[in-house]
Amino acid sequence: MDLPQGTLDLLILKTLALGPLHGWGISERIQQISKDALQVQQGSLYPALHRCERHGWIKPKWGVSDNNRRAKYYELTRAGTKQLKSDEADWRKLAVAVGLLLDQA
Amino acid sequence: MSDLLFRLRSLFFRRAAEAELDEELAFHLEHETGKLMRSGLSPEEARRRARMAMGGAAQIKEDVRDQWIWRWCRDLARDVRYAIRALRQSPTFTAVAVLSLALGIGANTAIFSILNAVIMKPLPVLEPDRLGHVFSGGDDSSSNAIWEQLRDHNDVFSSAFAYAHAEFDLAAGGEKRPIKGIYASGDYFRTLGVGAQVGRVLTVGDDRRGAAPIAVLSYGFWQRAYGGDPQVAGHTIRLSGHPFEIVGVTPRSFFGLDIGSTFDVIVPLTSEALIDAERPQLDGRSYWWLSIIGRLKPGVSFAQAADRLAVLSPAVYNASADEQMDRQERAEFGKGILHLKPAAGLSYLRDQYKRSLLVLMSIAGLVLLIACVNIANLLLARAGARGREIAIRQAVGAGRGRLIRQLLTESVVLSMAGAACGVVLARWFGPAVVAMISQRGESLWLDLAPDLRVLAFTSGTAILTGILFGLAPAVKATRTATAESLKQGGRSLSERLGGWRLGRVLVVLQVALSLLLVVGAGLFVGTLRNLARQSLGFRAEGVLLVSADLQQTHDSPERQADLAAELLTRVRAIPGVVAAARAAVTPLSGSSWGTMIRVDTGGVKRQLYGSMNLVSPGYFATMQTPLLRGRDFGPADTAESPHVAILNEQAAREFFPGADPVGKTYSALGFDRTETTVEIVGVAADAKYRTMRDPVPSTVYTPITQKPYPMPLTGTYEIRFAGSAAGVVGGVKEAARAVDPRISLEFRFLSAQVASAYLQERLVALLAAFFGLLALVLACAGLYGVVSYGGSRRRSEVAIRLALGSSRAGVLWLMLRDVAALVLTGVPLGLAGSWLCGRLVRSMLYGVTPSDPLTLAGASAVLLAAAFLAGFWPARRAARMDPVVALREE
Repeated sequence: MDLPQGTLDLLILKTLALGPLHGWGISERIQQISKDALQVQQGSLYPALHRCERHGWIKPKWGVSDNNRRAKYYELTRAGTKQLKSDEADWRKLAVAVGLLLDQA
Repeated sequence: MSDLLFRLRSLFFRRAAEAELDEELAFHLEHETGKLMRSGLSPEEARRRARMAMGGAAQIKEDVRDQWIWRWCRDLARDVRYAIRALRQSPTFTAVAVLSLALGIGANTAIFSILNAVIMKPLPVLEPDRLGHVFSGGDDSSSNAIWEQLRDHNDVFSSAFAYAHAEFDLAAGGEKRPIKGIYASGDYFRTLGVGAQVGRVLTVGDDRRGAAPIAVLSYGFWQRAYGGDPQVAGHTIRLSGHPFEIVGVTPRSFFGLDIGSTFDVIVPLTSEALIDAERPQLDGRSYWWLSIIGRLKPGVSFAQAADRLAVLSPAVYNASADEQMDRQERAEFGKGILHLKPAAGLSYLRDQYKRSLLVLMSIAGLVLLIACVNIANLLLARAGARGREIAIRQAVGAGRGRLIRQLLTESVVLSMAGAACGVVLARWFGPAVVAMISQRGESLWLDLAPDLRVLAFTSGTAILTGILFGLAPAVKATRTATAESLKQGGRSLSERLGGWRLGRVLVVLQVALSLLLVVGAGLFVGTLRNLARQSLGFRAEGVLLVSADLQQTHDSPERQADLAAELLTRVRAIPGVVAAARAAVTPLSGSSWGTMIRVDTGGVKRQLYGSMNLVSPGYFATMQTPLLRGRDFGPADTAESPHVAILNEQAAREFFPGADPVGKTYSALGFDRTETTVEIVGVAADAKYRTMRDPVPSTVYTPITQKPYPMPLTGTYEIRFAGSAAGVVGGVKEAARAVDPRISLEFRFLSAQVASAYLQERLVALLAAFFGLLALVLACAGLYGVVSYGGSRRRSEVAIRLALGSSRAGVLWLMLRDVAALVLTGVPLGLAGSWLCGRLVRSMLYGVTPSDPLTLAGASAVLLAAAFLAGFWPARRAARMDPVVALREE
């Protein structure tokens, strides 16, 4: 299933709210938690990560992965936490609204 | 903020960013492969699938890079390249735009760099804002006695010095070779924090009476007179006949402390006693000739230093009173208080020219505004022609913001090109303006080298003008209904009408602004004309002024007076000399001399002020100032004979209202405080005294032989001549040599002296006229453009009219009516504007008022005539077309 536009940023922020993670880990976790329902295209993951970084929502730091490789980890910033909250609220409202509409019809 | 940092970081650390990105993606690929392998795939298959899942690595990288500043810069570079290509495609438009911007920005840069040099540039010394100028009462100068007191009891400044400007003569007798000198006390350079470029500077050790006389050269003089010889130290230079040893050269940037002037040599203050050995100002306690400057101690504020100076004042003043003062005067003198003012404003030039420069700056700004309006109009017309291109770009998905940015880039590129040419123009224009206000002999010197402020001004102006003239057309051009525009081949009706209406508003604005500038030019030129044409009370043409320095003869005052008289007799005998005289003050020289007199009219004693002049017999005849009543001075009026005077009409009216003053007397205090009675023997016509603008003051002329003090007075020789001036100059030199070869001479013409009395008015008038003309040309170009554009826009309409039998005259009228409407809307706006602005410059005008009907009507007529010419040609061309050809095109 493809992600609606703009949702990826929200998912990235939500994933990182659980703790710092590298790019591959983020895509894996999204897939795991959504029980494989959501597939993150790498072609959009990395531009999205850099976009979030540009907005100052996340910041990168180099760390060591579980198999002892140097890897670029991302972690949520304070601005990112705030952004996540408002995005989450917006999304829930939208989802409820869309749901209501679909139930009606 | 973080956004910008992110972009900047990725810009500067691009290589590192690229490497990190590569590493990040490789890491991802590796983990994906590992995951697939764990699910049981072969390594090759796993790697293949992982790579497929990832998609094109290059595409991902490109998308990521888009998030970096790269994209922004790349777009800018692309826009600039595109803009240059687009501008190259219309060379005429580009040339016209760049030229008018070059003129506008060049004029602004030139005036601004003068304004900068006069008003804004800090002095070329260490921490100029910590320097204070000590004022004695309201006077910016002090006597040497005050300076010595302050020097010896200084606990206010970390160091202080006194200095004075002087003129030295490099020649020994004959025609003077004047150079500009400064007498400076020992701590001059230490206080200013200025070192030597070559050799050493003046120190405290040099500033002692009896010390070996030394001189420090300015960089410019060193280059001019010594060709920049690095071995110049040790050479001897003769200043007014006295040998001085050159010890060093000051840095290039150092011109002293007075904006507008520079110096050639600096010598110790005490050497003044050497050069003016007869009556050194150093010893005269009543000579107020020194400027005292001090550097504030660290941590001491101006207010604190000023308070301390006030406390010191009584001691300083009491110790420096003149011996000749009586007790009352001494008590009065002792009450003097020393004030402290920032030394940064040490410039008569600043006060004198500030207003004029600000007015010229505003005028130049308005010219640039007109140029902007012009280019905006041209861009509008161009946008019309480019409508199709823009529509296509919009149709294939270019955002409106992106397009506006593209078009703005184009106009900023234009204005940058204009600014570049303008800077070149300003390098020529700035010095030309300074030369215009420089007087012969005392040329004005300004450091016009562009500094950061000028660069910021010019580039700021360029970008601002680019946006100013580019924004409206860009917004207009991109508001096109895409489909319609494409259909109609780039001539969409709505777009054309929109641009057309804005274009007309711009032309009205232009007409109003240029009328404002033409009126300004009229007022300033009128001021100059009124000043130049007014009756001076004497005839300036054909009079040579000669200053003869008899002090060089080192004779006694009595002997010098005899020599001065002998020289006059010899001068009168020179062939070609019609009349000659000498006088203490020459008119409009800038110097003046006043005296208090007591008049007793019918028992009422009045104390009155009169401007003084001491003249020889024949002065009025030489100057051609009519002697209205009584007699001229004659050889019988000597120092011993009864004192006599001649009044001008103004003095006669003021001192003896309603009576004939001839035969009446007044009394005046002589130098030795004895009261003398002076009989009035004549009345002369009013003549300008010190300035052109002030009304003629009450003037009292007395014989040069009856001077009120014992010092020798040679005065200046006024020589009216017929024929060649060169012959007379040669004759005067010969006569002076015959009297005494040590006499040094200086020549100038009275007409030049008169002209220099309204230099500033001349400068303002010339520049205002130039800018007015420029504005007129720009406005006409704008009008021409709009009428031409209107002509092509209404081509088919005109063709149909002609085909239906309308006369060409009728069509011409139709087109001209359009122009007339624009101009006639602009004219009242311009008149209203000039009425408002005129009030701001009222004090600069002479003999005209801002609402002078003749000037306003004249300016309007000039503008209307120019506008008619500008509109007529394109209108006639439109009316002359062949309707068949035009209709076939449609």
